[in-house]
Amino acid sequence: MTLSLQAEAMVIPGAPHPAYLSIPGGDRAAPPEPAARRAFEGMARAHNDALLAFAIRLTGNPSDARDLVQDTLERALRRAESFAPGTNARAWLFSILHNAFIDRCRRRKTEARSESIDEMEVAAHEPEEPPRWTSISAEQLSAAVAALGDEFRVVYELHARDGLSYQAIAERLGIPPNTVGTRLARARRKLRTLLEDGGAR
Amino acid sequence: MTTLCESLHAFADGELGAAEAERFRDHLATCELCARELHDHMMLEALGPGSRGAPASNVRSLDEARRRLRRGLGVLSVLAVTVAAAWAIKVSLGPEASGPLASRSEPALEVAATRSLEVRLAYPGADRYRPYDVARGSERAGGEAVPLAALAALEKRGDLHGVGAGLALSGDLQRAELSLDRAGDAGDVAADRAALALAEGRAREALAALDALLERIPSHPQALFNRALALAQLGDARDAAEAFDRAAALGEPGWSDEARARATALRAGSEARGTGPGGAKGAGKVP
Repeated sequence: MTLSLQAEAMVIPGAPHPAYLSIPGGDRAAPPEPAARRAFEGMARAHNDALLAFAIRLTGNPSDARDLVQDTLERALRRAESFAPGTNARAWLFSILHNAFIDRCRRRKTEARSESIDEMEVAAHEPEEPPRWTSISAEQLSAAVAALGDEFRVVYELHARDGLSYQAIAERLGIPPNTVGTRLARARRKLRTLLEDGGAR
Repeated sequence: MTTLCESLHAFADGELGAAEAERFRDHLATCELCARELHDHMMLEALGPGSRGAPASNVRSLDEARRRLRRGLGVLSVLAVTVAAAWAIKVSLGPEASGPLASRSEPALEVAATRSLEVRLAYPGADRYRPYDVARGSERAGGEAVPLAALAALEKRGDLHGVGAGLALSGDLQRAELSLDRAGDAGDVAADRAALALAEGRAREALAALDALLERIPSHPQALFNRALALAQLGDARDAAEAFDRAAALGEPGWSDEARARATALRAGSEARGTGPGGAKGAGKVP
């Protein structure tokens, strides 16, 4: 499951042989043909930093994050044909990252309870994601953000675009950090609803 | 269970402590609701502007820089309104809400997503890169809603440089100058005095001050950037473009991209009509 040796290469930007170049054909699926593979590598390279940054947040440490991204890219490669060209590649990859992470959490929990961790096999959590997220455009997202109520929008913008922490936003707006958290959560739920209603695809 | 579900967003935003985050990972293994909401969260993150923690990509062409600037302007009007709303909330919460500010060494003073001052300020709490909002700057409609509590805290602490920077951001250039006059002679203060002179259209005075400062501190980032602006304002497109190249060479995220884009625009403009956009801009009155 782990390819930790190759995972080291993931963090070196512009490294000549990133890990996903040396992914073995895979035991579950035939390797894609060269052209498709090249396209996939380009995509993986373009979103590697974003995946890794988010994976660090999910796992809490860089080395687990690298493993998780490696796992994500392997899964993505196996399911490359499920990506619809022209849709949002980063969203597609993030969706796979999500599945890989949830599986990891489940496996860990089961392992913690189990006596024989070696033989542990957990059903892979790979639900078919409806394509709605990957086909939402930047314009649709900004329209949805613009439709948020003022108090939600400003917090969301400060967080998503300016990359401010809860504390920094709290200081800037003079509200408690907890309030920042709850507003962000509500802003995101509203956005999801707005995007669903707005009928992205 | 329910209390754990509430920390989903804090977890996904990297805001939980290590132990709490660990507990939440366990929770995620069994809570289908949280798993689904995390998915939505990640989709928004993926669709959103840039990814936090990832290195900023470079602006590859002037066109792209323009597109980005326009995109920035689009959200600006939205933000101007919301800042006012946020301000109202702040006021209703009263002064104790600004407590944390007092504990920070340099509170960030910027509020808006774009900057209304074309010049760069050297005060550390006022130099985060934000695209320049041409419309807002040239209308002279005033700056951003810098929290008064922040200014008060700076004043109380005797940080006149900070007060000056905050006043400048909020559009009160004259009072900003008065503050900076009393803020001593540190390099950053001198840079900001020159920046204000430039912002008020006294390009020649600014240029002289910046040259003097750069002699002292040759690669002072804000001084290099503002010197290029001053040259552009004086109509010296070629020197201005070169000066922007020097500023861009420092490789600061955001600022370097803008400097590069401005250098390119100046070169294109000087070929076409002998003056670059910096020189032609309404914000800069050529003395």
